[in-house]
Amino acid sequence: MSEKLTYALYEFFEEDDIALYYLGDFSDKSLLALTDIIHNSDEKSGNFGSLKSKTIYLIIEAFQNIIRYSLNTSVNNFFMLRKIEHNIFISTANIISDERVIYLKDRIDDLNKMDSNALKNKYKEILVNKKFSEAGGAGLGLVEISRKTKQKIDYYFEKYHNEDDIFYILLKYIKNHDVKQTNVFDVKDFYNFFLANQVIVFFKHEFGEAINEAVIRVCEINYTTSSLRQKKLVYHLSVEILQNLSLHALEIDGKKEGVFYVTKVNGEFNINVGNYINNFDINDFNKFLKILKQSSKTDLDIMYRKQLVAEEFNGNGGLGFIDIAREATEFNYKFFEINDNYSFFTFSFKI
Amino acid sequence: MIEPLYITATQSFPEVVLNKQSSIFSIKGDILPEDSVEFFSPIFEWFNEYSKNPNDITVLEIDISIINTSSTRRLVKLFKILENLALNNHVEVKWIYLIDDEIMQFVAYEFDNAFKNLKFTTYAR
Repeated sequence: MSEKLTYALYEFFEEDDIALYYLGDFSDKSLLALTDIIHNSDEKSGNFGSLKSKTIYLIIEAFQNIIRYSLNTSVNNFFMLRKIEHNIFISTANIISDERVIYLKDRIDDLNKMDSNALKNKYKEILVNKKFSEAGGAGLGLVEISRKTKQKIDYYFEKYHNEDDIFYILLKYIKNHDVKQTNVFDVKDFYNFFLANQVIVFFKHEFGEAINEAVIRVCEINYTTSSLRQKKLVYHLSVEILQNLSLHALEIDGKKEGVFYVTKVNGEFNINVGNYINNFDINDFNKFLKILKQSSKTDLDIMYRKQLVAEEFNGNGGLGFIDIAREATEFNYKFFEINDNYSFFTFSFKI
Repeated sequence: MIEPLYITATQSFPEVVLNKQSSIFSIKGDILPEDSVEFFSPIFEWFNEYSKNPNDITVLEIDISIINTSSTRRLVKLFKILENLALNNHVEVKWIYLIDDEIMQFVAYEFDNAFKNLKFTTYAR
């Protein structure tokens, strides 16, 4: 991934308090890690406030949707969460069979025509008649989503193979109609972008210790590799770079925001971060990174050992970056000047 | 007699048991606190106090699967305390790592190299 893309992604999601996308696991472990992100966002800019329980409810329903209807294919299921001011958007994309398309289309179209009273009656009718499908829900989840969100369910089907389709669904809580919105076609574009670029996880938020922990757990679950060494390195260095972000990113308008995403191409993980940095700090930092870039593995090992036992006068003396430089197969960085005071710093490395 | 120090493990913190009476000194679990200074501070205080009247033999068991670099530096500080203690006492760091975990094995190797006056023994489990 180019450094320019990291900045472009950040710019694209700049208005989002939180933007999270991932391809992969939909087990209870992922669900718990995601809900932890919502809980831990409370003290941060992405304050969910009264939307917290509704957001968690929608995430659970989105997961249920994937688990109930997905065909077991090699294509990864896709999850998205965006919070833009007080609007929440949760979306999934997964492969389903043709017969499910007709069933889901009819059901969602029906629900989208109903007002709150009709939805209430529909809910009661399903419960009384107990017409639960083999998949387990008789569309009860969809009725509940319509009742709780008071929004039409946005969906789209795209032909995948002969008898299979990609099912995109977007669930929304809209409190403020005047701010930026998203629709199911945006979701489709992102899904295709993520697949094409083999992005496993994308996260834009205000970073902090509790959020980092939850993000790392989401990543850990989705970092599938047969090599223990690679898995540990990716995990360990993701922690390093996220902690660096939350400790050293420049705070703007009371927020230490940044972007973090991981791609996996031909078995190699590429970890990318971007955050604001004070222009005053760039010169020294740039010099330090240049030295790391020009150093051999042996030189980096020597530098690491020296720095490890050095007296603590200035934080960790860049120990985390030295560690990344010596373990990564490659690393790149760039500073994008925003104004006289600050720039956007992007950093990526491969494991 | 110095009071034992117990720290319960969390997602980011390891379990810490420092008990002079029962001669149990161990750190087990992941070490990933963002503020490693705060986490290690009571551990340093405990060992500084313990150093005034230590047991004849001190074996610190370290069994961790992941550590961030800021905590690695805190371990350096801890090992400096133990290195001083080792001048007049038997002190050993027993480093336990998961078999096949080259990374934690390498971290132990780095420490072993950095602290020539402190005995390091490694065990794969």
